Amino acid sequence: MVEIRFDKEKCIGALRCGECLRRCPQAVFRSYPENRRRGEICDEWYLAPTYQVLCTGCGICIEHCKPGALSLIC
Amino acid sequence: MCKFCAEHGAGKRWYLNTKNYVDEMVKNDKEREEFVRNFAATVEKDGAYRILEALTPFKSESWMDRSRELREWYIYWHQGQPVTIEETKEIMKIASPIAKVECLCRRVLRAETGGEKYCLLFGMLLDYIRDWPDFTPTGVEPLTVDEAIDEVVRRDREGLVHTVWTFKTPYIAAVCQCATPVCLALRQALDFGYMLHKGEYVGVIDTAKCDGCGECVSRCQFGAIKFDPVIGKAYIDMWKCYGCGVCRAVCDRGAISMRERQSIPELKDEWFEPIKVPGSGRWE
Repeated sequence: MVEIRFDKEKCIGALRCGECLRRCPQAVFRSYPENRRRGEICDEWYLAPTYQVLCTGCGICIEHCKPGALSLIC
Repeated sequence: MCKFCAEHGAGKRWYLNTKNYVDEMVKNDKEREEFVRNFAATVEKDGAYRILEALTPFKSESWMDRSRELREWYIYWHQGQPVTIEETKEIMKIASPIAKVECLCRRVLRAETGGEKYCLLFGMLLDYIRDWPDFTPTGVEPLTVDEAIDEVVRRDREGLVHTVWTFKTPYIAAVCQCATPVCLALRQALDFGYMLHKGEYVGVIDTAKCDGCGECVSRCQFGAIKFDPVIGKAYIDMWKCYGCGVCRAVCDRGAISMRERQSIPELKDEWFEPIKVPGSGRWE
């Protein structure tokens, strides 16, 4: 099984980029709000390859990841 | 009749029972109030971690156990079921007040922030949802009953599946207009076998009327409709059908009808996708 490695330090977030979310044919990714508080707008939405078990290892996300935060371990 | 109808339907479909929409259900139940109050945060954060955690041991017996637990958790707290357009219109007449908001799933799964409002919320959930402004970045748009009916009819034509949602079953406070793979619920149901209950109907194609145009095949969000090139007609895999009726709306020939799930012996107790190892669908 392939594994997607995700570097949170490099990721610029779903609202600024979100390429992996939109492009993945299997919709493997999900975004999560960070430090969210009641009554406030949260602009830090991070990504995670939550549905990784559905990943085929096609590499489309890595090709389009602007900050280069993703890598694939085969 | 599904177990929700038996328990909460008062002789009708459970989602057409007006008692399941009243504010008192929230006011008189602390646990439910807490769930409704924190709903936006739950689905985005805790709900997500719940899924994440569940996916970790996916190749083991514990994965199957965890899936069963999750199924029970959703049945108790946040259960969904597809409903046909006729029933959705009925629900619009029962529920009040109604407003539409942006879809959280589309944002979370596909970074869709276009401002298009897909989700219809009712009753007290609307008061609490304002506490979480990024659940509703472009605001809450109140709808009259007629506007709400127009809205669901329009979404039906677009090919979106209507689903009712409970906030601690059987209190209903939302109708979503969903599609795969941008809907968290459809994903959870199809890939992992929990969260979305199958509908009360099953679609059937009258082969004599079908002219093989194939419109319905591309419409099905559950992968239940296939095209048979030998006879040149479409057919529905009834085991996979969720009974949403989206295919029927697009059939010019009127070849698709909805049958009561209860009238089909093998399907009358078929409410969930089997729990399985996701992805490959096999043990390794």
